Amino acid sequence: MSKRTLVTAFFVLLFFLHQDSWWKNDPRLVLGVLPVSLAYHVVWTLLVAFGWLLVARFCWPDRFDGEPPKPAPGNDGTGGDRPVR
Amino acid sequence: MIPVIIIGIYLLLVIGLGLVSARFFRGGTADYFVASRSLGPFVLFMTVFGTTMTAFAMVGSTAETYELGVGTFGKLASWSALVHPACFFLIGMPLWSLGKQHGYVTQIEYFRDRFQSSALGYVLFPVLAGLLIPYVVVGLLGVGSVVGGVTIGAFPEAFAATRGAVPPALTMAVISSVVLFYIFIGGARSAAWVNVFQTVVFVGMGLLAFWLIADTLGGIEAASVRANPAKAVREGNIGELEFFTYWMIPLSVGVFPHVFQNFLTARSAKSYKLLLVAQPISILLAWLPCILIGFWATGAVLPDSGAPVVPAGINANAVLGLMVGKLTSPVVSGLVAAGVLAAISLDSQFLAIGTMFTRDIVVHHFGADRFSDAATVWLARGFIVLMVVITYLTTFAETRQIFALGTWCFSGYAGLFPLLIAAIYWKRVTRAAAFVAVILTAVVWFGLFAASNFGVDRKFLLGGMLPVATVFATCAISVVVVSLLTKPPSDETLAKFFPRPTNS
Repeated sequence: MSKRTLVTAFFVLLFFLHQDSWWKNDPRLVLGVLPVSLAYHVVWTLLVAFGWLLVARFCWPDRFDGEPPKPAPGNDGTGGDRPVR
Repeated sequence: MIPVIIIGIYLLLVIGLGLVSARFFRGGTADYFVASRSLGPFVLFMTVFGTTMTAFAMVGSTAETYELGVGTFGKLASWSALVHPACFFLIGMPLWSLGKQHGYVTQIEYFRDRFQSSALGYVLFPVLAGLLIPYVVVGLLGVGSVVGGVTIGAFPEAFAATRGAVPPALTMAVISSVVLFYIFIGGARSAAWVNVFQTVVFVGMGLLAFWLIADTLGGIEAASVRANPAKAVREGNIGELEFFTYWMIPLSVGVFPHVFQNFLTARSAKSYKLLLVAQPISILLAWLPCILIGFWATGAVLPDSGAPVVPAGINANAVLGLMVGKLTSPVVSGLVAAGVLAAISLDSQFLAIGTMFTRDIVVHHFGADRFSDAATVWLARGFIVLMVVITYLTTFAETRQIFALGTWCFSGYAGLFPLLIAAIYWKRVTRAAAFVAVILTAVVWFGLFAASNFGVDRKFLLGGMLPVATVFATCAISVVVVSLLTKPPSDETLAKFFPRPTNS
């Protein structure tokens, strides 16, 4: 299994784990400070950052690293039909 | 009076920074609109983060938590931590590359070229620019409410009607003028420099307020224990389907015209690496203190009198200002108010509106050779001034909750996400589909916004889901169905936007 597949699977898992319905009615405070659902989402957010670190480290698309090809002659980026004169 | 002095010092620093950065302005449209595509990883991250965090993050999150509990973090902050970098990665980087290759500065230039249609730009412009106005209004309202909250009693004679507080109308006028000043002189480069400074200030001041408020309330544990336990849970505050469909709201970041412009300022694709990793952590640092302050506000009492810090029935937008104003010193109040002002970075939005009007409407219609580079910059400046005035006047009619208004604005942009992602990754998407998708999405969004009494009905849901789900589905279905029923794009267009990979 490629690194890219593993990282994608990690994000898909995180996507579904966001819905922490098991704690939706639990008012307990973690460490006496954070409501348990809030504490869960803090950890979830840190895992997301870790996931993006994996992307930057192992799944970086090399095709963007070089200079993009030069535009075709006459392409000024204004797009589509020529402007009305 | 002390908070007013500190706010004044902050504004002078912003003006000074604008002046210094303007010395590096190289002249011409490339520098004014996209800082000559020269920003490195740190400045790019600070600019994008500063742009994506607004009054929504500080004032709105505190107010929403006070009213609907700590689920506010899960429904927006943590979803944003996942979805924002996904937008940067899946949309920002490809568009940065295409923008550099073909010289795009605005989204509309990309869409016109991708779908080979000049008319599509005229359909998109009112939608993209129109949705930016409520976004900026959200920011200005946040400024007005917080500065009002921390300056109560500062000017008892001059502003008797607002209990001595600086009136929101005056605050909003001053802030609009300052933003206008540095955008006017330095464009994207000034906005980037100021955003770096502002991001440091607003994250730092949020943490400072958090720490000092906790201290006054007897420590973070005592503050949390005293808070209303009904606000520590989601049940009774937000439905499960509603909570889930919030994942679509941050998709708006991929479609915001001002973030698109930020994408193009990068020097290289590698500049995005820091952005991907730092954005989730920074969202956590910026949102968590404000969420906890909102949670604590549900049970906080003044240490000496035992009276509630937040009186019953007060507008929730004022919660942050009240917590800071009553539980910290005037110096801290001023610093935090400066932090809120820093969070409300309206510069990129104003710059994007000016850029779109100039390039997508005026220059596109009359022809690029009709205007000199300098004249184009002056056109943008003139339109920005006009938009600032219109936005400022709009705030006088606006009293809705910041979070609700922001959510509606973000929903409109998020609704267009399927079209953008299809344009980048699906060869079969057609011009007709783009027209139908933009028009249908705008009509459905406006219909739902009107049905919610223009944001007043904050519990407006469809089948338990946020309206954004309906808007998003409308766009996605119309893109797919119409594309499959109409003529595919030409080989020339496909070759331009989907070049075959080379082996070199």
